[in-house]
Amino acid sequence: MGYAIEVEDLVIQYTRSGQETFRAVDGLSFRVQEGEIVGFLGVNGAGKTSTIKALMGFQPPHSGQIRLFGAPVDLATSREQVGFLPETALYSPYLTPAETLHLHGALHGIEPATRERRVMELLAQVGLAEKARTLNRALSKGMLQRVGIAQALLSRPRLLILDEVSSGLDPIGRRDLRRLLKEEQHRGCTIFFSSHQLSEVETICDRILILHQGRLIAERAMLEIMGRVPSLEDYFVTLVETGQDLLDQREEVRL
Amino acid sequence: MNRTWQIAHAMTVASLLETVRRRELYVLLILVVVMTVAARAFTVFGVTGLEMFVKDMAFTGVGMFSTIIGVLIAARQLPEEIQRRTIYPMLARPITRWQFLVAKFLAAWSSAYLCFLVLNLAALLLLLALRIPVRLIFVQHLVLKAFAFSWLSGFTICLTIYMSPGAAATVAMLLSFGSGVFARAFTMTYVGHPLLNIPVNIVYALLPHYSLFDLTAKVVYDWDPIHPAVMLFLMLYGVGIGLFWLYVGWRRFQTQPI
Amino acid sequence: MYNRTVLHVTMIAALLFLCGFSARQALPTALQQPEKIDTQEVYENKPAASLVGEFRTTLASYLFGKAHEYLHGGVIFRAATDAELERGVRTASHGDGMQEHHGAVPQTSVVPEPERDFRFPWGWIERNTQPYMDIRSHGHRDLAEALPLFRMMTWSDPHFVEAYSMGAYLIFCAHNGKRKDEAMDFLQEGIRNNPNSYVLHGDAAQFYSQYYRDYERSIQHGVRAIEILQGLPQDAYDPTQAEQILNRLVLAYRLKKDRENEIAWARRGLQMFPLSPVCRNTFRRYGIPLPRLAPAPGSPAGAL
Repeated sequence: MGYAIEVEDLVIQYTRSGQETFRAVDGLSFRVQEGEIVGFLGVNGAGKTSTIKALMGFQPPHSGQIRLFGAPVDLATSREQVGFLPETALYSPYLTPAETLHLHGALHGIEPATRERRVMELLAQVGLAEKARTLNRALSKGMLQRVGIAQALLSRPRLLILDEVSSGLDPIGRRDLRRLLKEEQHRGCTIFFSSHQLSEVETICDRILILHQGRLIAERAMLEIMGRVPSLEDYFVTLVETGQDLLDQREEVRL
Repeated sequence: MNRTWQIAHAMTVASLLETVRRRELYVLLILVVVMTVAARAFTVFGVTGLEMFVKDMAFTGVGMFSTIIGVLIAARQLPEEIQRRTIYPMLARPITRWQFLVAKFLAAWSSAYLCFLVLNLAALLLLLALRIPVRLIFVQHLVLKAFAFSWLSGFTICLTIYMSPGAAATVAMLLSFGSGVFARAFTMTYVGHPLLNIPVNIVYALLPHYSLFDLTAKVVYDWDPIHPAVMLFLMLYGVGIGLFWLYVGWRRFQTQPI
Repeated sequence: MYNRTVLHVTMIAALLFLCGFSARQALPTALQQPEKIDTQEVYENKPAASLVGEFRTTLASYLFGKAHEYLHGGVIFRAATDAELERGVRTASHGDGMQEHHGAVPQTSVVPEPERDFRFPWGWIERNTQPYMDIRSHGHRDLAEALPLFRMMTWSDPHFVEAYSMGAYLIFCAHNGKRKDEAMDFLQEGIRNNPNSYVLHGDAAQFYSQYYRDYERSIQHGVRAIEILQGLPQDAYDPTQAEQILNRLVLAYRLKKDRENEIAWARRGLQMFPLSPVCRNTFRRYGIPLPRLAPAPGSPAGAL
């Protein structure tokens, strides 16, 4: 199996007028294998969103290389097999969920007949079938997030990149989302997502990447973590706050 | 090319739906009707023979309001998508930024032109109901304005890439409403010199010429249709200048972090 | 839904109240005669009056400009610059006897004529898309089309003397003199609203003399116009217009065969305008030597 995502020595920096250059991402390298579900973790300002923006080609990197399924991200074709959900997107208040999905389907190049079928199917899947013809402005934040999830899944992508995917969802919505992501994985989809909901990451992910101050400070399989530390939250908080990797310590003790 | 048209079509349909569902078109429609009827209402006070004045009010209102709405529609195409964060899932599709920009341009252009046509239709029906005739040049006016909106949409979208939406809308409105005034000031103050004429002409050509597309005055005063060669020139100029501004915008947009 | 309706009704009511209040504040200046009220004081003390008054005069001026456009089928004129006049720019002249409406300053069209237009191809485009004509010996559209605007502009600003003057002239011209009573009514309305306007009295004098052959009334208005002129500083009136009023007054006395007053007014006229052909002719007609006149002190009109 090949890699869905390859990131090598990625540097993203911002220069604000009259201020020094700030490195949001500093020499980040990682790979995501096809079929994996990878959680991308970090505190606010760690550089997660900058990295995801670079993955999608929204943010040109200062240096480094990014490839999706082997294709450089600056090529539009690299996104043919990608579904993306940004953090809290507010879809046009003057369109309905069905129209929003039709727009995105058309932008993706999905044929009208296939699109029609897929839109209704997805709206049913995310629990918005009854709201298909309601204007987005009448929908709650959680419902809009469901519209976003549906648009990300629209093209049956081989790679899903999700930024703060569970934001705004209620407990039932989160449960449905977990089920949906697992279904996509069974279909063979690779999922790369950032989240602050560590319990969710625990239950879904195969692997986690932890980013801190623009650098990758841990890359672990969930199986390594589970059962060896009390919870992912303990592992994450200790690592970020003190710089101590609890798993390394256990290994040291064992040695 | 087919793919670009497909993207443009989708974006245009969405933009048209938005335009129809927003209230602003209806507000302008009401204003045009009120202006026209108010102008006609002077007959109640015994002032007759107001046909020209009524026609003037109706088409001046339509021209003014459609320019305003055209600027507003174009000025919100990119900034609103960025503000709502919906530009991310759109650009996450396998489309280039040029395709996205062209689609936004066509969406803005068609929405603005739809508003223009609706307002004109309302004015025309009202005038016909008031038994005020409109001559054939009106058709040329409708056609030519389509190309004026190409200029307006391309220019305004370009400005939104370089400046804030408010500033872009202000500059676009100033130049669209003031282009005729600038041209007049230019011709009035420049005395003319054989050596300077060519460079001055080049400078003049670079200035915006939105007012040249406007046949409102000729429609109001019942002039004959204009020469087809002039129509053809303005059509080519409208498309060319619209795409030029779009290209200027794209030069920055293609590498701009979002 | 109910709350929104209540809100809308309240807003409309508030707006109407504001409009009504503003109109009421503005009324004194509009309805009372200028000599009975200190207009300036009203404007200074009542912001609403100032605001509404400003709107009214602006509207009237806009309509006046529009009327000019209507007469020329949308062709817009402007005063020609000195540099343009030196270069021999085309200036407006008339082919249909409508001499009065371009004023004393030579005017040219805002869209330049081909021979002095450096813009290629923009000049050609503009001459095609905007109303344009050769303004030399130009004609006019049906004058009747512009008349309603004069009615509207004098309603908007009853002190708009130029609108009354031009409007009356156009009413007369538009119907080939058949509606001279209508023109005179319009002029009289202007005089009622602006009793201290020498221009309107001068126009009335001309109308009575020229179109009604009513020299008695023409003289009344002519004398009143001269009285008003006497009280004005030199820069407050147009000397050419003042000379025309005086000449008409002298002619009215001549046509009325009142030799004594004709000579008296011609004598007074020469003090102000020593070269006036009409006044000089009076002395020549009756074989009276031209009087030796001392220069008029201060305002020439004051010398009368």
